[in-house]
Amino acid sequence: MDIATDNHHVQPRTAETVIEVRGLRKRFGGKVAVAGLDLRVPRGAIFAFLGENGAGKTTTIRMLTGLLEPDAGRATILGKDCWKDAVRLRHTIGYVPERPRFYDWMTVAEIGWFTAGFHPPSFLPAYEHLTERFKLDRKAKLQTLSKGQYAKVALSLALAPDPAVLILDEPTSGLDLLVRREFLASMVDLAGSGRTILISSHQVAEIERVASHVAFMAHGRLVLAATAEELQRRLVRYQLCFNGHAPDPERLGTVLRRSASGKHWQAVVLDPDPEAVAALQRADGVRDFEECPLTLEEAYLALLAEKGDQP
Amino acid sequence: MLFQPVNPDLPVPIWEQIVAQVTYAIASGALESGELIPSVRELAPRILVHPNTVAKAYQELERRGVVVSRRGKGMEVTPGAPELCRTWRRDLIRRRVRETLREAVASALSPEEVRQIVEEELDRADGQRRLRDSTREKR
Repeated sequence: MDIATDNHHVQPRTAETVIEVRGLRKRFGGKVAVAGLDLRVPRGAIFAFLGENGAGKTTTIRMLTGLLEPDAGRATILGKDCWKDAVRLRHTIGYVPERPRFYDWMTVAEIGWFTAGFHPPSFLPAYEHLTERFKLDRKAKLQTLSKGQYAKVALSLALAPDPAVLILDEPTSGLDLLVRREFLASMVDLAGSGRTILISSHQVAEIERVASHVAFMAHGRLVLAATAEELQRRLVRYQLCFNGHAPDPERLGTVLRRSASGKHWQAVVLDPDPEAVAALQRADGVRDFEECPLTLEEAYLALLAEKGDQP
Repeated sequence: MLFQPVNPDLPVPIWEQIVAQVTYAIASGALESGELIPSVRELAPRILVHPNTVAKAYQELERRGVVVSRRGKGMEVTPGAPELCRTWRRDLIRRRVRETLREAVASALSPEEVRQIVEEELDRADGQRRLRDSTREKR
């Protein structure tokens, strides 16, 4: 394979914005589900959309896929409005909902033929190729499939039109380890060929390795969005031992967590100030100073546990 | 070459883990000068990491002069790579051992005790490697 063309797709910084969300709002009766959301997802990203149940992820996704009209703000995919151009966007976006439901009396092959009616002729051979790759029995009725096999049918249907954008709502929840790995490998492969992927999840550990971008959502709002690399610089844990007075972490940046026991002290800081960090490291009585980036799971807990405590 | 799974929980970034694996493979002769390393698109789904992360590791290997991009072919291991990688392997392991030994000394273990632990753990690691190699050969 030509490495020059191979790397061509892997240009995160200058890449065009594929999904753009500005000031998006949605409320259901008295409950605000999405409270002014801004997001930008560049081409080729695997964008992990993280947050607790009820944070507003699914409502956002339903607005992105044109299933819900926003109360205010705008979401576009490849420049097209997700609500007004929803029908035209259907061929561009692959969507796997959290609990996909199809006509369960159909077989794996039949649901493919049925769905092919809404798509160009290339759909069916692509669907058959995918179901074969996922080792699905084409004669099996959908109602007899396991949860993992059912999810593979949903992914095959979503991928068969060769969409530029793939949106997955909790795609791997409740699936076996091997199926989850297969799903993630498909995601990586798609991102490598320049497709853009948005995955909502609260299974943080397995998303960590594949994600290029991470966004944390709580109470309908974005808490933090960054590339996976930026996140390592922006969220840091400092630990040290001290004699005398415990150091004050507040000057380091936004302190998300702190704890001290005896002479041992640690703090998780968002956007640390390098000068303040250097000063702390040199301070009298401070020894065994260490700083380490957080795993995504630790970042999730630090960011969302803190926000979650608020009313 | 056989890529080991990368571990996102380690304090070492994933791209550096990939750099280290390629470096060790070249240092040990498992990858030789003139051989091609797998393409970004090929490796990323195999080890389940984003293609950008693999690309970043490859850029670093290229910057170090360990691989060179051959148009239309891929990334090729350079003639000077084995020598470079052996030096790096030594330096990297020395740094890790130094950190651990520093902690051991700071914990007030006696040098004899530390030496004994190092010997025992080295034997154990070597035994595990032999076991792994022999099961691999049987496959």
